Amino acid sequence: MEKKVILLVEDAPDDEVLTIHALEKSNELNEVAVAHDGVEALHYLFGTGSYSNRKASDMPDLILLDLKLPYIHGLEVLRRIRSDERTKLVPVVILTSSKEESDLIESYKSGANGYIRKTVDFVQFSSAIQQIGQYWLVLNVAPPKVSTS
Amino acid sequence: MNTNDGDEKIRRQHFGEDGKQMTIRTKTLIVSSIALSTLLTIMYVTHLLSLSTNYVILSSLAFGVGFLVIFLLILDKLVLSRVNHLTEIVRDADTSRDMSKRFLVKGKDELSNLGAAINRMLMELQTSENNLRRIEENNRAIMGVMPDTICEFSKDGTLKRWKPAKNGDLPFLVTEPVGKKLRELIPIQCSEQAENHMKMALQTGTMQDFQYSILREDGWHSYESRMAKSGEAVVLTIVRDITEQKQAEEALKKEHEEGEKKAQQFQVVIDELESFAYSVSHDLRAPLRSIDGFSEILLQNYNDRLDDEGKDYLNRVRLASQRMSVLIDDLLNLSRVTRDEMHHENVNLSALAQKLTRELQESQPERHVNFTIARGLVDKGDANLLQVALENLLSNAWKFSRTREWASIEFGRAKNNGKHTYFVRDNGVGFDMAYADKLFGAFQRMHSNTEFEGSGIGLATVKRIVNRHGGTIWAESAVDQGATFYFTL
Repeated sequence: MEKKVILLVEDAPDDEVLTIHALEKSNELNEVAVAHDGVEALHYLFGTGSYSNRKASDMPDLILLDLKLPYIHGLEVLRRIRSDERTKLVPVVILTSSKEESDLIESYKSGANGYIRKTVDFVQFSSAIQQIGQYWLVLNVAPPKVSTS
Repeated sequence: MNTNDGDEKIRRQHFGEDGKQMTIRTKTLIVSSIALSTLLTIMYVTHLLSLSTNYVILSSLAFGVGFLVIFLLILDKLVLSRVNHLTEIVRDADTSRDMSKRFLVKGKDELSNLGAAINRMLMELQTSENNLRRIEENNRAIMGVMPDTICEFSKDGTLKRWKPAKNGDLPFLVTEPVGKKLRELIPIQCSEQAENHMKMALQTGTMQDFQYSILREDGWHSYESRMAKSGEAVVLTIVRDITEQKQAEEALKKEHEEGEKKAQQFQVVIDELESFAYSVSHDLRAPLRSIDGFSEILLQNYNDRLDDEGKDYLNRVRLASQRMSVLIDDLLNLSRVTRDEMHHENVNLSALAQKLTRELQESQPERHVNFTIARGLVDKGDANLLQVALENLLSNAWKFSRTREWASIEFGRAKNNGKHTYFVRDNGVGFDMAYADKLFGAFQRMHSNTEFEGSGIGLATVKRIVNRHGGTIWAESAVDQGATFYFTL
């Protein structure tokens, strides 16, 4: 099975470790790229800045996006992802600890494919991550990758 | 019948009889003709007896005089005395204003008619005078009763006469207002306005209304003045002291402003609480996640390198962090209950209870629980908050009755002192009434965590919800005999 790439946009180092741990447990074949803030994430996706030597056509198969990010808010990142032809179709799942109704509504309004709440209970969190990976990378038929011309 | 006759008699005496009349002229002519013809007849008879010419002349003279006397008597009776009487009556009415005398009407001739007419006029005058007097007395009584200052102004704005207010307060700048003009009576700033109003009142005949104030040693006195035209060149003014009213208005306005300010401050506090709750919700949970997560990873990845004690400690760490997470959630819910706006509507409590108990049963289908839910219980309140309250009460009942083989949970409404009281009853482990006052405190528990899990915040939440609906909540219980929670809305 081909390798899938997951882009994790997360600023908290602990959460980063825990999430990667959960992801690796579910499927070792997946490659996880990490961006520690919104700016870095956008650089990664569009092959700009520090990621200028990355092939922008290699879109990740799944983006796990935290909302509470420095510099640019996660929702803004989401909007920019959705407003660019190259990244418009990439599945984005919001991964956040926020319980605010407004965040939930805004995320879906801005084009998120899913919204998962981070739980304190790690076992529960782990299981959720596994299910996400299972669904989006295996079960779900991915949208076609847009080729950059 | 007697009075009728009497009345009829008086009526005829005052107003004459209806019917054909015989004028005085006719009467006089007839009588004169009769007298003259009698005289002539006598003269002729005497002449026939051929008496001497002297006797004839003498007798003619005598008869002439006799005739004159008779004529005069008739004249007097028919005309002169009656005219005299009439004149007397009219003069009396005119000079001494005595309108009570009436002319006695006899017969139906010109003087009778004149007399009747004069009688009628006198009677009308008398009635008018009585009415006028009554109206004047009425007016005087009204003015006397009115506690305000009443003044009369002439067209040029001079005060002609006035009646002071009951409380003795003068709404003027001077103590002797008679003869003074408006600008001498009230402050210059207001007098021009007052003069205009007076002009308007005279021109348009509408009532004019305006307010003015006078500064005295004890502060500002405010007055309200109403002017109305009362005749061609007279303006009636009523002045009322409205100082108290004005003060009340000012006080009310100030209260309003302060109320607004307080509401604003309140809103600020609420907004701050809102952002506080949000940061709590996010920021406090992150470290908890780390604690729990890494403990679990330790347990997983270092399983073989840990002895039982080590594993136990790590498990305790995990449990503690999870418990803290629950506490945070509960606290947040409690604060939301206080913060959120309430939307009042009709809520079907029975349906709500049915739904919640169904969910409870589904969560643990193996338990045998007898649910008794009264039907048709509807009340006014916030649907979301009431659901939270019922959820808390029912899940408590569910939790604390799990020791029973056959648990029973009841939700219904009873009348207590005429007020509708809702209750949730279970046959579970109950609690000691000695500690009942602690029941609804935040984080207060009646049982240890090993017996029954819980944060102790559920009942505090319910209490707050009930309070926000303007109701009260209390409970009755005995150890091992179940518990009943009562609340009103």
